[in-house]
Amino acid sequence: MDSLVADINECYGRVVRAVAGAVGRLDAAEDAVHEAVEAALRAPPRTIARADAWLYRVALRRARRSSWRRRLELPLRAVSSSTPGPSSDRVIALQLLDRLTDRQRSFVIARYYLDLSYEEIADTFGVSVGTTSATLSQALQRMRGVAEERKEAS
Amino acid sequence: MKGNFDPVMRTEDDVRRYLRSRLDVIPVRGRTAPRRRIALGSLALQILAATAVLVAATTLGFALRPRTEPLPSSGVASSATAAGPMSDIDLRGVRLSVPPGWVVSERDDVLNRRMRRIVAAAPRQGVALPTVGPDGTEQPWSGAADDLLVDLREGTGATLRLPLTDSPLPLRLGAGKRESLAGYDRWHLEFVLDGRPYTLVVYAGATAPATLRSAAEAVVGSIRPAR
Repeated sequence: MDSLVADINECYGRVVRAVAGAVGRLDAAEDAVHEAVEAALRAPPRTIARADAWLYRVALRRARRSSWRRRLELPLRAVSSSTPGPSSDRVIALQLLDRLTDRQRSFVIARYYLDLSYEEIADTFGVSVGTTSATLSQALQRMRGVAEERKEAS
Repeated sequence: MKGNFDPVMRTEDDVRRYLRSRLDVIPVRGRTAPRRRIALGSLALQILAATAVLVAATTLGFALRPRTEPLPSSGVASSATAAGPMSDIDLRGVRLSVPPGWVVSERDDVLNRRMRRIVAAAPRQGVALPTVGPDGTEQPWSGAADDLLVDLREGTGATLRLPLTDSPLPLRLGAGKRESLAGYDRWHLEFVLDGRPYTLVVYAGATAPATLRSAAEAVVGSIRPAR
């Protein structure tokens, strides 16, 4: 348990940034990682090869779920509150990742920001290594395309 | 960040550099509690629970002030004598010194998604603690006209604006933003201690004696990291 806490503390900031990059919002990322940490401490998983990979996957799932919930709640808030509260949302702009699918963006950040291997990504997200490789390859191709377009436009 | 766009993306290392240059600069706070969400189901339960508490309290003859919580006497560090040296108190990584007779309470109140009250200090027991509404806005302080309250919170309203280095000590209350509100003055000071952002809010009733205000300045000036 102590080593799990130490591992979580060590990777916490990195995972929050990774999730923020993947979902585009720092506040959502912070909430999701907090919840994932709480879940881990409440019921520690039996085996975690890498705490950062586990936290990243769980937090991503929670962030996306809360994103859907936020969309559903928006119309309700609009009618229930005439004066909106202060917004502290932070939007993370990663233009090169804009046109990637959710899965591609998650894998790119896992591979190139968290430095997970293909095998670790496959294990973390429950896909095959071949799928990981293909997803990353397509993502890089698309990113290069975006970079080229922007280069020509500038 | 839009102006920092780097079109070079030939190798995998370029991708690494791109992501690190964008993500490593994001300031991340320490681990705190997640935002409290109020779903419709839990909102209904909360209303039911609040109604039950209200009915019970009314039945027992308690006079409840809405959205106000007094500084409790339990879990409190307090000095008993009316005269004497300041007392050092360590709470939640922060050390502060209070004059004799002051009441210091360790708190764990989530005020909004970015701030958590960790310490409240006042010259006497029973001073009202300010609260925030469900939308995160701060409610008016309901302390008496001669009350005073030092309210230390973990987190700030605008983490991105804070410097990454620790704030110079001692803190000066006068460096904070002062507002004269209905019946009281409020000072608001954001600072960084041991790399963690804090917010200090001091409330002073309109007729709070000058000696109390000076004491509050001394308390603020004594804030430093716990050993």
